[in-house]
Amino acid sequence: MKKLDAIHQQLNKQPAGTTAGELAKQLDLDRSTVSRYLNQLVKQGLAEKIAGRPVLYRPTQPEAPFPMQAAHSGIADLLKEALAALLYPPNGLPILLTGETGVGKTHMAQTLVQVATEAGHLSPGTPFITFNCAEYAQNPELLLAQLFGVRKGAFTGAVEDKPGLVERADRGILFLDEIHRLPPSGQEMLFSLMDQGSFRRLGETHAERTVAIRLIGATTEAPDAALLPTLMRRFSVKLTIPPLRERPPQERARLLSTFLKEEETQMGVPLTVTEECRARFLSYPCPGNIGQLKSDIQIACARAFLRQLGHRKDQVIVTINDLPTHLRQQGPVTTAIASRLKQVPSDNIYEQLLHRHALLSQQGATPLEMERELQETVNSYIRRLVTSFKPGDSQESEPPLDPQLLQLLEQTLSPWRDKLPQAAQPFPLKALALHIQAFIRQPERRPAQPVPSDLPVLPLHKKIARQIGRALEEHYQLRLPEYELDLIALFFSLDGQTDQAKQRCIATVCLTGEGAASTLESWLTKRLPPADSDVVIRSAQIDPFTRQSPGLEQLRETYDLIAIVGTVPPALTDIPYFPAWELYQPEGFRKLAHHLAKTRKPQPVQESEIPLTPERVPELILQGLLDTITHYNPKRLVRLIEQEAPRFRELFDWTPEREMGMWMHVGIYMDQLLAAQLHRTQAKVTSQSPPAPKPPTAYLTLWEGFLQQLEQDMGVRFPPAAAHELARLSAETTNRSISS
Amino acid sequence: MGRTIRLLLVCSWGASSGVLCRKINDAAQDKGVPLVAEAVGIHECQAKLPLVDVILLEPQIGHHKRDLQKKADAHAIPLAMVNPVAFATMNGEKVLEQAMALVSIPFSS
Repeated sequence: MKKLDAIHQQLNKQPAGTTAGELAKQLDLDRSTVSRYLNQLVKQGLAEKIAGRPVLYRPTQPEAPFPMQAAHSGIADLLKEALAALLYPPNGLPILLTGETGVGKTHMAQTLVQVATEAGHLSPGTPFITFNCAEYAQNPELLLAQLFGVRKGAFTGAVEDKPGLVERADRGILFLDEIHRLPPSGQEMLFSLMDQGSFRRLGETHAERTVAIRLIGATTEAPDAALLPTLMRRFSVKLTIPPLRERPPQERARLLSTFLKEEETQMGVPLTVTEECRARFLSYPCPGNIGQLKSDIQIACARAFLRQLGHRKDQVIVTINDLPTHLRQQGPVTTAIASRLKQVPSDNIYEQLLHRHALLSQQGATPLEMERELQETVNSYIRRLVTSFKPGDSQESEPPLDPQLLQLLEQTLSPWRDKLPQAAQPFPLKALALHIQAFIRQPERRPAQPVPSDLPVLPLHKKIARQIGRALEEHYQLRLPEYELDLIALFFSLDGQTDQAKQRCIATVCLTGEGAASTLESWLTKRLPPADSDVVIRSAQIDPFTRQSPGLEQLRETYDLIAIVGTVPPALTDIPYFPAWELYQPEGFRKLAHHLAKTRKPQPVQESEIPLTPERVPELILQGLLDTITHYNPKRLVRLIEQEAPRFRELFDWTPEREMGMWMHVGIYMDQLLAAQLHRTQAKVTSQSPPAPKPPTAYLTLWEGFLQQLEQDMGVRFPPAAAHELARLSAETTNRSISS
Repeated sequence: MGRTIRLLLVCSWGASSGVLCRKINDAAQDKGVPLVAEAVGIHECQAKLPLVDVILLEPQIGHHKRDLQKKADAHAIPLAMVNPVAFATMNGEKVLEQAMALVSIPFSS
């Protein structure tokens, strides 16, 4: 291997950068040699120099890849051919680029120059003049004056000698876009320029000027019809850039993700596109080609960004309503297209992780933010896998699952089922199987560089992942790398992240999203039945004309949207709507309460958990107190509590949870008091609450009696305010004591 | 793993949460989970709220959940009730797991 390549390779292993000396040591080479080669790499654009002391070198960061270059080999071939023509000695061959509007002709020209400059074929100061011949097409004289220059007095208004663009482009490149808009006389002039390198400014008769110009022309028209045959012949290299629809679908997907990444970088916020939007972007007829695709994406992203400005700022989601109209009116994507889309490799989780990781470190994210983001990236990947397995369409669009693999996973996981209820569910299990299967069958999709390993993985989950790793090694002779184990472990932390975990939500709507909707929001918050306290209430705006509401769509995606309440009925008809005026009447509110009760979800039963009932409270707190209490016998306290509890239940409307909390509070508080008495110090715990109104006498009496009994039984002395505090705490209800 | 995760455990006066905190911190150390729990009374939690990564409420102040949820939402901090059984049995390990599960799921609570 050549030294240069060796150094390049070694450098690539150190993306953060390194010094020439360090590299020399690693490769056992002379430092000055390494330094020389490094500078060569820099010249070739393969490495970057970071000024400082010592000077650092690092491999060139993979930029958002140039869309055409990254594309299929056809475009790369075009680029090569064009480059050869451009650099053909002495002044290059004239190039004519043709293709539909928006296919990237200008981009191609720019890239050509860039590539040629970077490779050292053109010196950095080489002029690159771009001119769009359509600009002055209404006024051919002005157009020609711009291009070739004018002599003073050539026509009215030509008050001075003026050089044209042709002169400015001397020893450089002249790019003429829309070249077919040149009038025939202009084409003749151009022809002689190309032929002899000479021209005259408008109005000049004698002095023939000479220039050395590399010419690139571009046209959307069929060149044979639009250009004079003489001129046409002079373009010895004619290249046609194919329209988007003739390129493979993978390329469109790649373009989409490139443009989305660009937008994301600009926003500085994670950007997601719903599956449906993605599918539309990939399938709609896009007559304006890449240019249109890009601007459509920009429009959608800008809309999504604006919409989300008022809401959450931590993520921007592009939904169907953000799309430009011509995209929205598309019929639903057929399953045939949808299934083809699923195979598109931009779904690559490793790429996503790497990209996200790079983006975040660039933005200086804290490690915690990093973890969250990466976990979310994995989560949405898993969600995608899971949703692709909704019962019903599983037969058609998905690659079939290897039953043996599925069985193997089931077996490996079965001892862990108690600890991992979610892993036992068929869907995540299938998602995991699908993921592993892809890993086995598509080695090309495995990451080229190491994946960040600081994923937030729980030790237990890692342990299970290792077991899966061992099982796979045994049955498939497949050794999973460490990052893969981390990724698998993350599948298990996806606790009920699928649909059923969505929080219930009521949306309040009005025409502004701020007036009636926000009043309703606070009004409803206060009146939700206790059993429905999990419901979140969010306001949204409805467009007065279309009755559409991106805000609602957003809520619908984030939450389980169970009802809409407001002053204007929304266009969404599949979600029950309750007019505000109806709610203010008892009858109407009962209707809503009834609907709420209907949508209540069974509480997720955790592990062995039987629902908490008052009867179970004593046994549970005894268990907890035995474990924590040192200064008295918890059994005596619990016996006393069992005796007295009915009187408390009678007076206070506690849930079993709250009751348990109260007793634990008393128990631990008492332990601390006893400890303080023993060591003759003040108990640390004192109430921090502001002086409050006196609680009702009945509450106070009940607690005073109970504390007295404790003082007698256990020898503890409560401070005088204790009963008062406890009574207050027992009686507290929502929305009062912690106003900000 | 990166930075330490900060868990705020809110109870009425900071009595029971103090004990539970100790247990959570012990469990975290045992398992090598980078998490530090801190106890705070409901009336003092305002100032701490934006400084933490995850918030758990003890059962006796469940009636404050809705208020606090809004405040936590404003800072995009996950918030939940302590698993009541884990609380009663002062099971630090289980609360630790609950907290970790919450942190790893930033966009829902």
